[in-house]
Amino acid sequence: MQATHAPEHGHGPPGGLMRWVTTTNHKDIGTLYLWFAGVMFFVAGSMAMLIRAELFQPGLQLVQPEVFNQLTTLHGLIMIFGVIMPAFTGFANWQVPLMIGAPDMAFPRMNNWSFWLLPVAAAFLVGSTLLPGGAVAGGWTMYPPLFIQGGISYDLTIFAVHIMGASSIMGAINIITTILNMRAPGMGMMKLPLFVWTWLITAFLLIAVMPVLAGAVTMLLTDRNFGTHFFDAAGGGDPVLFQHVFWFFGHPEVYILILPAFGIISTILPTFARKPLFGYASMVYATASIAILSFLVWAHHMFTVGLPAGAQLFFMYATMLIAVPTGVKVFNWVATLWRGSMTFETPMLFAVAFVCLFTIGGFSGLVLAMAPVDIQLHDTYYVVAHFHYVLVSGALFSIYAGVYYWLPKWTGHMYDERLGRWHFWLSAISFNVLFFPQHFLGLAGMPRRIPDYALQFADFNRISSIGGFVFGASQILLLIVIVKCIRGGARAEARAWEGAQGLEWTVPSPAPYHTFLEPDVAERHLSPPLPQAGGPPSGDEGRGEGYAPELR
Amino acid sequence: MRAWRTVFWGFFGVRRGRDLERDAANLKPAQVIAAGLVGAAVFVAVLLLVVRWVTQ
Ligand SMILES: [Cu+2]
Repeated sequence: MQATHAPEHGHGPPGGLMRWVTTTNHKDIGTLYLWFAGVMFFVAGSMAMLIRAELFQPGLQLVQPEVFNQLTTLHGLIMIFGVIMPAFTGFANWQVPLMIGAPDMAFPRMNNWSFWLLPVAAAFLVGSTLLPGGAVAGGWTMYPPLFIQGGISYDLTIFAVHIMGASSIMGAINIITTILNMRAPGMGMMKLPLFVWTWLITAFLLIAVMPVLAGAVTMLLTDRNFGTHFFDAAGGGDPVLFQHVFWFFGHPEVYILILPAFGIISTILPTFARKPLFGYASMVYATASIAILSFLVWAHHMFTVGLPAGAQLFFMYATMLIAVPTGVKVFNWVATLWRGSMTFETPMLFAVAFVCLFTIGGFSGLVLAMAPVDIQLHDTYYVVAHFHYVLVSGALFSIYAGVYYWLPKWTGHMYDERLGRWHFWLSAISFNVLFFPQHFLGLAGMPRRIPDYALQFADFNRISSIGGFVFGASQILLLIVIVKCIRGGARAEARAWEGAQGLEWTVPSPAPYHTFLEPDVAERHLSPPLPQAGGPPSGDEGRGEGYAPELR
Repeated sequence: MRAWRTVFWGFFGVRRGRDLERDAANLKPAQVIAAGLVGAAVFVAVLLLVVRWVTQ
């Protein structure tokens, strides 16, 4: 707070490139994060296009197997650490201060630093393709022994993971401090918009597990360069140890990638259903219990490494039980829509698609949670289909929904609704053409991470690739919509959406460079109508535990 | 006691709005966090017992 530059009124940003290099403004940094995620999305997306092109028919067409492995590895690493996580951090930077009535993030300079670390890490990852031996090819999970045997780009990747981890931890510290210390007077914890709650819990998860990942890759680094044998069986180490450490990070990471999405969806559905979110409190509790339980399920990624039967059962039961709080969330979203006066603008379309398609991903996750089934499906395309339903129609669609939802607030213009709908329908249909057949491929036994395959897999791969090309091409529409929206379009009102609740809609569109400099501004808006759970009681108090009454 | 109940319903994921109101007024975050961690430990213990019972 004290590090912000003097909060004099009405002064704009400094001009030119230096504005972006030196900025400590949460909105500028949010914009940087979002553009960075967008650029990396097209980088890693092009890799996916190459992968799908190679898999269009059996045999080797376009790339050598080594290159194919580099493509799958980099695609995974970049999409996770360079696209989904930065995009959510971008949303947090823009929206958290606006939603809680804070003038900026708690540590604005650290905020600048956590962003500018990311392009460095991305340069290492992408640049390593040019090094001798090419980029990392051991899979995004970085398992030894492959990751101990590779060349210089493996060291660079480890370094990149360290840097991105440091960036995430600093971002998380910033978000936690901002939420706990800088809420406007009157903004109690149980009045926080759900997006803020989900990010608060996500930030704790980040602080808990990013050091674990850093530890795991540091052990790889010392195994590679300093003669240790943590993961080298020949030296008395254990490669399975890496998997335990990695997935102790990896499973909470899954929730890091999806909890902010839950927050965005829980913001958008009430807006376009014109009803308060059903079960605000249970959403908070469910998010917290998901976070705790996410530490207790990691070995469901390791059912084939030879765990004792008791351990397999434990992780199987725990994994199935974690579906309960997630199911509660889906139930709450459906109950929010129930009898709402819904309209289907693009953000709502993506949000509804999220609820449907994420649930499919959740169900295939339950299938994989069963140890005996997983032993059949492990490392097949069924797994690939599962996590793309969770991460594309889940995390990515929520990012799309959020971008369309808040673009009017960010730019001051309404986006082109017609183009937005085209983007949605093309994406939603081609997404399913792309990934649904991969369930069948996996059930039929097609392994993942291979550039060539047996003839019986040809048909579904061709369908999947066609879906992939359409999906990839459709994303250019999003870029067009965003650029058009920045350059002009219908003026957006302060409250750009009729049903929108929350402090961010009380400031003009586009949001001024500095907002909520005086806390009482927020306070005036906070009482009596409240964000998220606000709105008048709809007359039927008895309709269940809907919104917490103390919020009114 | 209230913290335990809060955490129990938290794991289950559904809660009455009225109860939330009382919780929010009466509970300290530290209580809820402590109860949550103990709850997680109980969860693990129960699962381990179930596993033992099944594998016997
Ligand atoms: Cu997992």
